[in-house]
Amino acid sequence: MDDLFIANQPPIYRFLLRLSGSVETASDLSQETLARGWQKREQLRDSAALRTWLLRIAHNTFCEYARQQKQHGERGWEPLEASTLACREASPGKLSSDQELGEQIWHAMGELPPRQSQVLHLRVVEQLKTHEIADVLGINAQAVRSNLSAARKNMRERLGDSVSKPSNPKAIG
Amino acid sequence: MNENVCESLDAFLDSELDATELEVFQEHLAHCTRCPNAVEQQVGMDNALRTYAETILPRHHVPHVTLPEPPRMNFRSYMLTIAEISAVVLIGSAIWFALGRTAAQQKIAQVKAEQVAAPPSKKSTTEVVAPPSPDQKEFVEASAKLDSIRKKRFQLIKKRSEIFENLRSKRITLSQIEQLENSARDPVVALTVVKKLLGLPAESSIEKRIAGEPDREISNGEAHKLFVPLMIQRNRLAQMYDDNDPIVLQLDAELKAMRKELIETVREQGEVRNLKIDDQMIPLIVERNKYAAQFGERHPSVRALDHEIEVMKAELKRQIRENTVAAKNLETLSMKAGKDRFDVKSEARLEIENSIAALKMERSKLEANFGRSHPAVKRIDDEVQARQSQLKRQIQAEAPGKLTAIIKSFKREIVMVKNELAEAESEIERLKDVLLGEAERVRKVRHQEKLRHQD
Repeated sequence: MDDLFIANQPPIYRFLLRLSGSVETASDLSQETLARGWQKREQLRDSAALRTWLLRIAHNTFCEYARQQKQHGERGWEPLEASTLACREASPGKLSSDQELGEQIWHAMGELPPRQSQVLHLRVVEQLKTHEIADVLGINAQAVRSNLSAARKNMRERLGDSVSKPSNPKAIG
Repeated sequence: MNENVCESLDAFLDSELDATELEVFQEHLAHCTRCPNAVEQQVGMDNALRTYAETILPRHHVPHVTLPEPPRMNFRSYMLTIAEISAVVLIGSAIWFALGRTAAQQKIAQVKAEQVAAPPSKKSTTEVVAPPSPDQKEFVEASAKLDSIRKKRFQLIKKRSEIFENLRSKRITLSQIEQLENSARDPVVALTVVKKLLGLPAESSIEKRIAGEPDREISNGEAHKLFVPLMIQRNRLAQMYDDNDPIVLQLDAELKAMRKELIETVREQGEVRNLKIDDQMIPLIVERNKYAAQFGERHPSVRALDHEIEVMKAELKRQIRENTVAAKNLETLSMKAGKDRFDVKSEARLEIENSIAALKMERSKLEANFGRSHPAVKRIDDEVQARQSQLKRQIQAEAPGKLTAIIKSFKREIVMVKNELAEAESEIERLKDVLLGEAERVRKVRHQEKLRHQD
């Protein structure tokens, strides 16, 4: 179980980075998420759903954090630029052209409305199903579908020209 | 139609189309001018994003690496490997002999001569593990310290979240209590609900009734509810007048009859239950005797029936015992009525209630003698009304005090938890600073180490 929790740290961190836009906040909140998950692990009935369950805790933890920040009148997170730079520090090495495009998309996702960017992240990066995304974000499946559709449309409009050839056209979803 | 199919693009990308829809969409893809491009673009974007996102890792993430298992060798490959090794050894030996031993000997002699000619060196030819440089040592120490601080901070964050949870639940309860205090019309009802919310026991009979708890341990319907107040009235009148006063005597007779009735009720209830058991037991005994006469006392069926009858008898005995205890309890209860046992209300309330009871008795006496319109009766009526309103005020006055006390204690608890939380947060902040400092130090050492290696 311990190993499973640790293995799920990267998805939680990525999701929190998407939500907060700050490496420090994402790091702190991912630790807190894991701690909360560990405390409540008895509540988890299906261990196969661990990732979805932890992502939901991460989302709740972030919402709580954002609320607190709002109450204290502080700015909750750093701008996305800084976070992305920090990400690159965390994973040094030359970026391939695919990764460069990925980075560009990651940036562009930050400009989407929050809900759209969250749904797109969970669908594309974490490859969750519609009902799982609905579970994580606490919304209904129809809202997930409409947000996902809008997000994709937005992304295609913004980055349509940048994507000339897919690296692996057969892989879908 | 075409536009409708185009709308299935997202569902297609998310693999959410069923077989028929998928077939329709694939057919559509062959003819549509926009969808194939959109699919191509989207797939490319998704893949690129996924590839990039996989490189985003937490700073101190240690990936779990599973080493691939070495391939298992079967017998044939094992034999082949041995044959290969043998062949290499044989060929090597053959070449060595072919070149002649002299060349090798010359070489050895040359090496020996070089060793003799060279000045004695402090370093041996074999590799010696160099002692760790001060930088490396510092690096290891700093890393260990960093790890320990990180662990401590993690534990503190855990503790903070626990305290925070506690605080949140307390705040919720407090807000519920305050809301109740503000919205409830009757403070007694509010107090009862609050007590139930906090898991506190209800004190007064009114609270118990509101909370839906049973008033007494033994409940025997209406008769029992009437019995206790009547007993209180009797004792009160006996104190005021005398035990031999006709009203007291009348009440005594009533109480006696009521007590008898109650005891009878308890017994009857028991008997009804006993009767049910009897109804089942008698046919069993008859059957058992029939079997015993036919097959003998030792027959398994007879024995099984015997066992069942024994169990029933034990149950019957238990019920009789229970009923006797209940009846005894009731008697004890009636003897003690009007005393401390029923003092569930405050002294002031009891006093008012008793005076009302006495007034009512007096009123009925006067009414019987002089009629309902007699001024004395009217005066008593007014007095009773005044006492009743006084009683109501008394009940209402007691409730808010208790409610306020509960709220006060709750607020005190919240302040304490808040302080605890603030302490934990300041400790976390302090550790965060230490952690950042240490991380900076480690980074510096690592940088120096890197520079040293480059040199």
